[in-house]
Amino acid sequence: MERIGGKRIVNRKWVLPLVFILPSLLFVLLVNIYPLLSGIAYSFTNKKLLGSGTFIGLKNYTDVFASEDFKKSIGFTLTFSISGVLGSFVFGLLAALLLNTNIPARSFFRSAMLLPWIVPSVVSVTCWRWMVLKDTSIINAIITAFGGDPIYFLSDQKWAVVLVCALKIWKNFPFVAVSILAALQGVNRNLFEAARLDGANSWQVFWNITWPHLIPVATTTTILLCIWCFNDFENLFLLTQGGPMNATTNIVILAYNYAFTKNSVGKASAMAILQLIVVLTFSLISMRNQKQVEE
Amino acid sequence: MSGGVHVIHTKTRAKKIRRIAVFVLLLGFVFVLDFPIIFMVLNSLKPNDELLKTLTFLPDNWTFENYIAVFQKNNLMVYIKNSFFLTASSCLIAISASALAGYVLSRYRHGAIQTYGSLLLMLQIFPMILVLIPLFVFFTKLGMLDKHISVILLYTAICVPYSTCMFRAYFDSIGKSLEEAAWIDGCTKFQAFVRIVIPLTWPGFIAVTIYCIILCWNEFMMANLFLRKSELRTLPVVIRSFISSDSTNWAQMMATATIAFIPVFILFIFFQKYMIAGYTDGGTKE
Repeated sequence: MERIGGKRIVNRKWVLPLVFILPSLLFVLLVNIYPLLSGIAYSFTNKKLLGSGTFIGLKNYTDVFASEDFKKSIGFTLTFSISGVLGSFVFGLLAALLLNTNIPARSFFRSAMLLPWIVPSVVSVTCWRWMVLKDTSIINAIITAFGGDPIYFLSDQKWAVVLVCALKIWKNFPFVAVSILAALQGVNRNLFEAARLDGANSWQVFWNITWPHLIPVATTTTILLCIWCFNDFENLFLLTQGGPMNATTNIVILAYNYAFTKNSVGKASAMAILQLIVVLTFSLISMRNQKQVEE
Repeated sequence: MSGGVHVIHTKTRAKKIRRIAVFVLLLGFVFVLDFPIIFMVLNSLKPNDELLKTLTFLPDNWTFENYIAVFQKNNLMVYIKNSFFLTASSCLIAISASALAGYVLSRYRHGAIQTYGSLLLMLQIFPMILVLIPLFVFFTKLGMLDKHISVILLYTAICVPYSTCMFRAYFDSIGKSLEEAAWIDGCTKFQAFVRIVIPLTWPGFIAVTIYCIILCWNEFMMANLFLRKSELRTLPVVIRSFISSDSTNWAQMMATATIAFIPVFILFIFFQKYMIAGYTDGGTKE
């Protein structure tokens, strides 16, 4: 009798957590786990969008590694991610340091700086396209006013890369700025004054007092930035559609094109799996490093 | 004596000048930064031929004709309704599901439950393309293409992982003692959650709500892929369709883009305190 009663109490204890978790678990299973498993399965078949495929082993993976457009997209993915992360971080840090000084209308500046971060991608791309569309558009008007030659941002391979990187930095640095600003405001003011009294210059104060306080936030934002740049689809797809001549095609856009225009779901899934492996490895390593830094 | 006073005087003056310099610098910086958006709003108020011919900053002829045209010719109201409906329903489901799960993650330190928490963290780094391809195949088979319900499912699922982590951080921040007192007073655990925990964490609810609304309202990729019938489209997809049409009416496109931007902007003006707190908390806390 006692054992049965005790068991019932244990069971009842777990009713609430299970019921509470169930809705979100269902979504995760349906929209993340099930597709992930199917994606892994597809990557070993020659599946098309409609109709089933047959098992072809690792052929998709070897094909993908051998293909020229995949190599090109890796190059662009790296350029885009590295410049996107570095640019966003440097601008974000500078903006945060400026905003942390004693200036009037600080909250106005903070809001105005955050604006690019919240604007829908479609909207910001509309603005940007208009500014670089033709040789008479505003950016080129400024360049020619200073005696330069107009730049064809959307059709020149090199300049298209510059353009998408600039857009990504413009969009992401506000996030860095706000995160770092929040951390800066948590630093004890007395530390600065003490260092000043000891005769430290601005650079020494930054390097010895401010920066050590910023390392945890800086690490987290950098990890997030890397993932966002690496996984970016919308900004690239909307601004240049991966062109000209695939110059701004990253792995995600390439996979999208293989699946939905070339109807090669198997290869596209193989690329997506490779993408996941890279992102996962990167995050696990950086999370482990972060824990060590914090300890 | 007077020399010392003089030194202090020049020091404060130098400080003042530096403050003004930083202010002017920031003003210029912010103007350049927000220029694309300001320019878009101003361009939407120019007639299309003026927009194409001249490069002036302010319109020569102020006009609302683009706004009137997109509502009359392009059925913009339909797309606004679609966007609104998809955003509202996805957010409602996502917030309920994540608040419940976040509460359990915060209060039950059981192994399996915490594993689920780590899984949610991992899901945030998923490249969406990986799940979109199989889901496209799956939804096509089920005949769920061109149905709003498919996009609602997807939007809910992209909101849930981060929202749950945010909720967990907010629930962690309030202690257990109040709930325990309520349990002793005879509240069931569910009642304690609804009457004690939710009212105490409403800033968290606002932060998560804003996060979800902006995510869904701004989303383009999935809406573009899963809703192909014109009358089902959302605002971002419609704006995009301007670009791909042969004779882009830029002024009308700017007007539509401005309309899509306004709700986000209003939310931002009123709730940015919560937004910033949400982004920095949920992201940095584990």
